Amino acid sequence: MSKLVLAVLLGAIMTRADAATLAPTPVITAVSDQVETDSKVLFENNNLGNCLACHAVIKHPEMTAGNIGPPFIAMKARFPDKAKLHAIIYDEQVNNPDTIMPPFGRNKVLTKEQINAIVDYILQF
Amino acid sequence: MKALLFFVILSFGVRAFAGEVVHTAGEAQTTAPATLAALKAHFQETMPQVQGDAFVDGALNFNKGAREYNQFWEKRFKDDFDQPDEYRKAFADGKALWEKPFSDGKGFADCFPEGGHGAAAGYPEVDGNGEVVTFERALNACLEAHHEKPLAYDDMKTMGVLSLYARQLSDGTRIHVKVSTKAEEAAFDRGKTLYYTRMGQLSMSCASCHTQQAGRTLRSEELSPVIGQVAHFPVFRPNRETATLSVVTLQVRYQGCQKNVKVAQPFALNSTELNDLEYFHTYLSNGLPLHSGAFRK
Repeated sequence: MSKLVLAVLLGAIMTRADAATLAPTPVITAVSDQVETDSKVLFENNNLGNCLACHAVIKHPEMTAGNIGPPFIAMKARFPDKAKLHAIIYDEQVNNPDTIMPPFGRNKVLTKEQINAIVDYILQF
Repeated sequence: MKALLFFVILSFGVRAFAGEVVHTAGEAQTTAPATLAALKAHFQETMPQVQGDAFVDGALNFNKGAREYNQFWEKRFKDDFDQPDEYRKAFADGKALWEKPFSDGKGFADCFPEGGHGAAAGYPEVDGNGEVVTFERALNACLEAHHEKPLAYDDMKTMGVLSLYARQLSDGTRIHVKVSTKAEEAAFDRGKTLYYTRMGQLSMSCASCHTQQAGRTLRSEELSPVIGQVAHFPVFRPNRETATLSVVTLQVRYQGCQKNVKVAQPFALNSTELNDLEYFHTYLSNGLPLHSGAFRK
């Protein structure tokens, strides 16, 4: 009986804990406290990739908000080598010293794994 | 081994330094007039539709909707029946601060020629120590010369509204910042270096957006060209949620830009850096008419 009470109590505490973790957290905390892995979030969030700020998505005009960078179009055909795309996001200043493209990898805005996720995500466009 | 270590450190240093400057229009020129001429030529080529005083309208030149939104607000500013409270209050508070006599009976109007009319158009200046004196710094110098307490540069309820009102006394006057002495040229060069230098985690320079990419669209807003920007400060900007207006001075806006490119420690207001930058920046708008208290998103 006491074991059952304990289990119920434990269950209650766990549920509370779950509720606490599920509570909406400010974006900034989420970014600094845990490494984001959702590629759509990495692609869109303005503290992470923020790709849409500068790059148009030709397939999705409704997503388009900028025209500074080259548009996302025929990505698979243009980038048969994923490593090239990864290098551009990591630090394009290596190839193009005056580019406005931020060095997301070198300046640790994104990890190498996060850049991989973004590479896979934008290849769909 | 030591030599190797030295070489590695040196090459890192060079690497960090080499990546710093963005080579775009105006960067290579060595004098102030040549820098301005190169920028004008660049904008003539990249945005031929923007001519003369239209540069004061900045990003509004590129977006019909943004211009209409701006006109809606600026019409309200002039409408006695529909004037936003924050707008009316800011100018009233600024006027009260400007007109309040100092303990010695003098006032701000005594510190500037013509009682302050047209005064803002000649600032920033370079003083005898080679330091840049912005108009806001001159306002504080006036207070101190008359044994009054200077205002905090980040306090938009005092310095912000005072600047707003005092600059409005120069509305329509064309900016005429002088760069001719050695000290002035040195200050211009310091400001210029900051303008073209990459900063923050996003590694962008002012020039990246406002020269190299000016006129293009970033997160559905057009980027204004560097020429003309200073003419309409302080500005009223609406809060995104409440649409209430806030006064924003030029240097507070600089800090906003620095935060946007993820600079961990933005330069302080009235710091040598921001004053130098403002000097360089204002020179580029020489000949354009001042318009204090514009509306900007």
